Amino acid sequence: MKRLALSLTMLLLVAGLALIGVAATSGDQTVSYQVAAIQAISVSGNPSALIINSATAGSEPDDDTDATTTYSITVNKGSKITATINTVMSTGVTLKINLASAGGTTQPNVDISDATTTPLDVVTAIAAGSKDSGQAITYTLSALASAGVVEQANKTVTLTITDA
Amino acid sequence: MLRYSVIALLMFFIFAGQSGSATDISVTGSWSETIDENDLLAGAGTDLKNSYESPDNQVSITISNTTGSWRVDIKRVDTNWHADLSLSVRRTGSGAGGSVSGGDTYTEVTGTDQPFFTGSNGVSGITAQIKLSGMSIQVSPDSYSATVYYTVVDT
Repeated sequence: MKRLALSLTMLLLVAGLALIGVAATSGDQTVSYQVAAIQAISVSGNPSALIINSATAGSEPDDDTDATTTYSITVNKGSKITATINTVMSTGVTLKINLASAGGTTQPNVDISDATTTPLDVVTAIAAGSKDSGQAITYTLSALASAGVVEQANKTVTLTITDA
Repeated sequence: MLRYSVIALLMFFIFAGQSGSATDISVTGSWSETIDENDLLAGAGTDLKNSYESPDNQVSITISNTTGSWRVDIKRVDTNWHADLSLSVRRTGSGAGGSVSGGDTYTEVTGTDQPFFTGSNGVSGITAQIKLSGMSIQVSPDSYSATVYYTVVDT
């Protein structure tokens, strides 16, 4: 009899507690978001043709420059910009690039004439959270007189934004 | 022996009575958002969109076990959150069953319980939408999350 009473006690307690367990007055949900690494870069277009066709007597031919294009970046982490060229320049002909920068440090007039495999830094120390729009790209083409007449050629310069 | 049974019966009725008066709430529909380069306002050189909204029926709330009036409060507990960002919720549907009122404009969810909407009787499928605001390129890459608690209070 005593055992039966204890069993009844346990049964009722369990039943009562089970009813309490059903009665939820609060529900929850998880809200999560991920901010991915953002290193975006774009250029405004292609520069004009660079043509060397003048010189001062006794000096090397005059350089030609183009500053008609711009680039823009947005980054949320420390970054830098590198440049490569698809094929090397002809012997005696040099192509340099200069990128203005508000959020980083410009590496002035970087010679990319033979940067086909190793990217060269053109802007460094770009701070996380930078968004620079319409920064000038300046190309400078130089040629030695010894290069002679060089046929017109198209080069593809690739700007890459990457981790600093 | 008799004493055990009497105590047990009392506890049973006390617990059962309490559970019978407690309004229940169930919430489904967690939300996850990934923000990346595609969320820039106009590509490189521009900032990220400031705010992001879930689908308008992202959250479904059901109130049950009640024949009276009630209020739903909300608060959030951050796991990892960026101080620039705020979280808001708005009710987008009234569900089926009893009546629901308020909460149809965005209410910011903070660390303190605050009223979201009110109603009466059991209602199933009340829908809600979540908004994340304050995003910018200044927010560091990372995974962030918070738990939003919906508490029903009898009124």
